[in-house]
Amino acid sequence: MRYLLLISHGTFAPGLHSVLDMLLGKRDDILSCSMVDGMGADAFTENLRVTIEPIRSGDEVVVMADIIGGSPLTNTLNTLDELGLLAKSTAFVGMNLPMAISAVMEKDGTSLAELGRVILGEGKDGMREVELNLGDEDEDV
Amino acid sequence: MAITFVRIDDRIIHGQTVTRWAMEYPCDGIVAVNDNAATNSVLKAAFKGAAPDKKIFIWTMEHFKEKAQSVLDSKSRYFLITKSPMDMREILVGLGFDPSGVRRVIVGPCNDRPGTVKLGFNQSITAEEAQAFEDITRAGYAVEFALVKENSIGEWPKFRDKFDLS
Repeated sequence: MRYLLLISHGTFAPGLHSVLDMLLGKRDDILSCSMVDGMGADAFTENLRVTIEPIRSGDEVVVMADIIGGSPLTNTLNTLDELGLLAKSTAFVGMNLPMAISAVMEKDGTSLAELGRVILGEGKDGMREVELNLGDEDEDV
Repeated sequence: MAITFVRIDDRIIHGQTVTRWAMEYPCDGIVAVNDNAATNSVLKAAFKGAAPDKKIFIWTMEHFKEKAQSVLDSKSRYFLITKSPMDMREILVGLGFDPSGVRRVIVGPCNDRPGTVKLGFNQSITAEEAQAFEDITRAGYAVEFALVKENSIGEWPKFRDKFDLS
């Protein structure tokens, strides 16, 4: 099984997870864990180990995190390594909803190597200014 | 040049350090001293990748002692970070390392663990750590507890009575 594991400070990852549930339906291959304000790294790591309990050796993990250099990601990579899962994982940072949706939709049909290119593209393309066309005219039919 | 900021932080390098504190003090790079992180290839790689625009070094105490002078001689401006207060005492007091005249040590997150005394939000320390803060303070440094600049809860003398110190 290939899992999507969302990681962040605060409540971002579980929040993003809840939106994926709303838009794509609840799935047991999406997991999330976060380090809330005031939580120590040890407590986060314990929670993480509980969260990723379903993952078996041989499974693959696509990690998506909020930002590079944060303790949640650092500790997640270290924990995955301790569990022998790091070799079959890829990790991305700067996650947003378009990127997460793309990861869910594409991860099972794409090689891990190719997946990065796909979801990063979707993530970046998903960021744009909204333009409202308030004019009355219709386009030509 | 060289050292611009000295910090003791349970998590060594993380969001608060690379974003917030690097806005307060000039930072071209980080020298982090921790035997465990320096010998764990995944942790070391994760820390080194934490801030792509800065030079990051993760050294054992042994290696830091060898490199200490070259850090001071560098034209780059570094944050000096240890995870453990005892390691910082070893550097500032034991080794007598002068961090380019910086005389303030900022203490960041300290994990809540069994046997710790809580000083403030996410800042709980053991008796051994208390003694290290005492020793660093006696050596002429101000030890200030501040996760981020605005949330300083004060300096060591305010908390020393909670502990039995020698």
